[in-house]
Amino acid sequence: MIPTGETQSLSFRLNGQPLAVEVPPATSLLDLLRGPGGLTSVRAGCRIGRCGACTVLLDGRSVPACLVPAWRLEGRRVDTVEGLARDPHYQAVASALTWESALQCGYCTPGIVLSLVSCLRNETEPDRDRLAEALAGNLCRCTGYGGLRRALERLAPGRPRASHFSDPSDPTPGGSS
Amino acid sequence: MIPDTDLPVQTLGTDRQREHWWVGPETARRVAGRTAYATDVPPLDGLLHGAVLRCGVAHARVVSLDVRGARAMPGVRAVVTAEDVPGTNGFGIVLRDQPVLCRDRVRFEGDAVAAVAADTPEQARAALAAIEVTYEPLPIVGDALSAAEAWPLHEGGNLLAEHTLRRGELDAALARCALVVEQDYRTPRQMHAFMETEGGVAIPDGRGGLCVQVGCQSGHRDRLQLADILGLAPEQVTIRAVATGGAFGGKDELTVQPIAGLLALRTGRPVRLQLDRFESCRSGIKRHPVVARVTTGCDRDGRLLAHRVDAVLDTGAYASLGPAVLENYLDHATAPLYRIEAYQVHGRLLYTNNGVAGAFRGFGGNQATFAVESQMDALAARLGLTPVEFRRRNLRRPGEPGSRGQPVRWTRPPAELLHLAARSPLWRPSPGEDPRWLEGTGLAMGGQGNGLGDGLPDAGGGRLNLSPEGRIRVEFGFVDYGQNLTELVIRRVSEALPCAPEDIDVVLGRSDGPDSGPTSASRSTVVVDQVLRAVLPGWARRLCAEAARRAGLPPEALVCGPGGIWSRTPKRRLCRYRELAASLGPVPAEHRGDFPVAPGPTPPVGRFLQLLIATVARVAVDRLSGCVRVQALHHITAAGRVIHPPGYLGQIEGAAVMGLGMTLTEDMPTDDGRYRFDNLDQYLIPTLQDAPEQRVDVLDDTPADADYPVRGVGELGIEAVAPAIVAAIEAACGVRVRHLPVDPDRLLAALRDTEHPV
Amino acid sequence: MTTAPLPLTVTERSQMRVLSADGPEAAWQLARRHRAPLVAGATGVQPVWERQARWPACVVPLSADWPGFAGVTVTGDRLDIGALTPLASLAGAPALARRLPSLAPFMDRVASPGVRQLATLGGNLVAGGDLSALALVLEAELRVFSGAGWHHLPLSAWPGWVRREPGALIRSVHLSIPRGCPVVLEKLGHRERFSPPRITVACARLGSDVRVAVSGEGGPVRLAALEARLARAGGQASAADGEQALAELDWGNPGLRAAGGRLIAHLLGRLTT
Repeated sequence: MIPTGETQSLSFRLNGQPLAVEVPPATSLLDLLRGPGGLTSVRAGCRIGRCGACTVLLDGRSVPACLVPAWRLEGRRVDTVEGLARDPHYQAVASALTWESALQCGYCTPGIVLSLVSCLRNETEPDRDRLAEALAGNLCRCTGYGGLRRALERLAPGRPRASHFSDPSDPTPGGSS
Repeated sequence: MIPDTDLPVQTLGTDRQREHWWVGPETARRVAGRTAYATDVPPLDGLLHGAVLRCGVAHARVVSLDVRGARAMPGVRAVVTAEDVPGTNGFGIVLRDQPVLCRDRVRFEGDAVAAVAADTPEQARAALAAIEVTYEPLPIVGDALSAAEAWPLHEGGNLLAEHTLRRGELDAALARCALVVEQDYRTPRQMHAFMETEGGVAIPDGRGGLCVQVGCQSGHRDRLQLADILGLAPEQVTIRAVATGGAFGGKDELTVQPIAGLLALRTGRPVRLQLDRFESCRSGIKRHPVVARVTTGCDRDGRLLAHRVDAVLDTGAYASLGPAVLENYLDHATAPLYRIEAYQVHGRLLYTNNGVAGAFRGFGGNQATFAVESQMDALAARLGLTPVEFRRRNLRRPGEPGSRGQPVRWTRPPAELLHLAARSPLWRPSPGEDPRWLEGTGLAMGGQGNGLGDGLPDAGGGRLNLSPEGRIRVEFGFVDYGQNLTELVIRRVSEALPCAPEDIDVVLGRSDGPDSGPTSASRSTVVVDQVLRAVLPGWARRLCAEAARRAGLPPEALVCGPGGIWSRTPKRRLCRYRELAASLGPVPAEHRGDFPVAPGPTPPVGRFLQLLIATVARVAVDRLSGCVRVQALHHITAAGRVIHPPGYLGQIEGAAVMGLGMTLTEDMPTDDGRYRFDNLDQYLIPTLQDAPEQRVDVLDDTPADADYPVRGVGELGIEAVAPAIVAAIEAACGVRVRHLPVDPDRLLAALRDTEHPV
Repeated sequence: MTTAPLPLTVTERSQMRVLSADGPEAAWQLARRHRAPLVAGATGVQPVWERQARWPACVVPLSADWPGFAGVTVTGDRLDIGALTPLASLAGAPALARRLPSLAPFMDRVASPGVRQLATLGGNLVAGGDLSALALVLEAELRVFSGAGWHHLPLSAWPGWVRREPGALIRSVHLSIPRGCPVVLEKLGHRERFSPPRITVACARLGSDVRVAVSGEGGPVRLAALEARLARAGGQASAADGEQALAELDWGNPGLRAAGGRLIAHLLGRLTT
């Protein structure tokens, strides 16, 4: 018989709705969301906080859900892409990523979306550099991040970025080709 | 000199090119997190959870195995060992030498000895802990170079395959060389590191057979292997390849299918088996590490005369696709882009206890190209020629046979790519250099073929139909693991039929659907194009004919269009596809054809449809630490028409960054046969900040009605990245790196030797 | 104090018990009694447990709600930072940004944005993480609770460097950064972001005093011998001096020491310009 640890009554808000569960206190938020939470956009990639595929918003800021134990969750607010359809930051990010086709397999994409939403919400000046920094913990193995870079240009328009391809004597963006 | 203005070049993804940019509905679904993956737990009654006991030792005899304790554990529904495999206890695409469950011997740490199905994952893991196994250690074969003389891992010894490609009289040619360069090269054991680990669920069909929903690369081939293992007829096994979070060759071989299938048949209940990252790292396949000595010589004018390669590939404990990787390595090691009077390219594939190596994007080719292109730079430097000029003197021209005497079909002359690479803006010195960072630019070229090659059976088909709801259903056996395949099919059909993207349902990866052949070897795009060109016109005519009959109009007056059939003038919709489906019923059309090979009576050698790339890299080397930053990569490709720009661009960029990882940080070393790393905190793949700015220039003017207008570009982008980066490092700091990944400590030490005494 | 030994580890996360305490003193007692680790953000320990598939039978979480455990307070040159302050808050704290302009860009290289929301300053220092070189050159003091009650402890004496046992509980970190005291720091990893540290170097100048510390593969350490040499040589040192200082401590491997020496000399140069 497996000795079962104690469980804990826990309530938090998931995508705006209250959720009450009875779980072992060390259950990870990742397992909570994929299990009792019934969500599939939050994905396991490494389970040690190193890939970003399980990124969620905890009280509005992006965190890897696999490193958030249930004992830290009481009364807090958790958001995933499923609950953000009407959020203007989400809409901007989703449309930029979609238009730039900034994904291939898409497994890492919801996590990337949430890291960007978190940056747009919380940073005082979410310029391209800050948006790029916001993705430092989101690994993508498919795209080489090219589509993401183009999506960031769309999300934070501004002066053309200094490019190794631009020629000071060539007025066309991207240089001659 | 080739004037630029005459070359048909377009830069993908730029504003000027955006009129061809199109993004389909599947992309939006993935952004919103609505696509279901193999990892998702299906809502199935009675679902059990599987777990696998892996031996954790590199090489041992299994002295005893006792699962009685595990069988008595709570929630356990089945415990299986080698005794329980009803059919062939072995799998492998080339040789079935990898046991599903090991009986008396284990050959790498990920070898499976037993498996459990239980009500919960925790119960399954607890049961594994109750299995008692005694191992008697055997000598570890940890070095491929000496493996042939070491303890044999399989009957017949550790030399699994040996092959030589020859042309001309090597010794005579070598004797005539004015200059000969001999160097050793090493490439790492790279891990695929797909974001979604291997997993799936096996569901008994109640009639003795089963269906496996899994992240894989070839439903049809998996079905044949799996049926053999399970002692079933192929018709009793169905594979449903669900959306897969990356594969890159790492899911080409069977992964969880055999054990999940075994447990499902045993229990009569659906069994889910999902590897976590630790287990994936320890049991999954890797890229073949290659150690090669390469000797290349030329005459006084820089004309290549002789080229010799002696390579050893470490295939690990089992063959998987190793023999095919060896073939492709050797093919690329002949330096196919260059005219060489004589070569002798020799490779050996060895069994060791170092995990298992198999298919990985590039498939041995990029390992060979790393050495070949590095040799070109070495000869150029010794002759005092630029890398561009040296290559220019040796590149083959269209119309010439390939390096193995076989017919090849390029879409542009290699010299044009070289010319464009030489004009890359990345060669401009950057203003305001920081003295800490040494900057440099380098280039490399690469060629690659589509298809399985060498005359291997390589057929592929697809199917078109009209569903009762009036949906245009397009079916292929391929798996969409992130290559934008669904989007590509939608785009191709919606443009060619034509119709609205929303009219189309793409159904992929079902072993009871059409067999398209494996989703590998950059072949899907070619097969899709071939099938659609064969069936679409006739299929459209059948729909138009029926619509014409209903409307009392001549069929020539009608065309397919968004939502249904339209009259040409005035342009209006006459009937919906749904109405046609009601009156016509299903309208099946199927095509199956062989993958294009060279025309002619001789058996095919190598690959016929060829693609080209030139990659220019700009790097900065940190004088303080030896760290390398790749600042920019510029690719020029010649691979036929671009069907789906975002897909093409993403494939080149993604493969290039994968190659960058292999060049700078990625390796899975082994210590006494055991992998040193087992998760993404230790095995480091590039982050966004490691990825450079990239530009992809496509050189193409292939007409749409050409014989072979498109090529698959899934592997092209990785081909020339590593040699381009090391060339740039040399340009920056004078040190040539020939062992990958680049070790910053060693680079710094070499850098210090080149500096003036401190 | 002796307690009956409890099973220290379990094999499933779900079997782990969480012992909650009302305050730091009670937490310390609980941890002692149950031989349970005290955990803050737990971003460092959870991966270790997950990898080993062995979890402590119980843990005692610390709470950011306890007085003094979170937030940055400034009094003159003195900074009091709660040990449970998330790393993400450090980069954004205006009081810190004013005195340590090099901190914010450095923080981008510490873990990842998501992990920085969870990981704490105390946890980073206890593990000898990226911030320990900086804390060492700033001669950080810890406010700790242990069997000896509440007291201050210089970071350099923190027993957690050598054995991570629930010997003491950190409430806060105290440093003083005099105005005009330049501090430079840099991390060298295996890749550009989210990398385990190879070497982190921090240098600070307080008046004529130049301080140097490193952390990373060889562990956190203040380079006292090098500082003494710097005092004699007007604050400048060569790469060879830096490398030798690391070698004398047998810090890291020789290849990394070469890089470390160059980085130290480079940062010392920036300190004076």
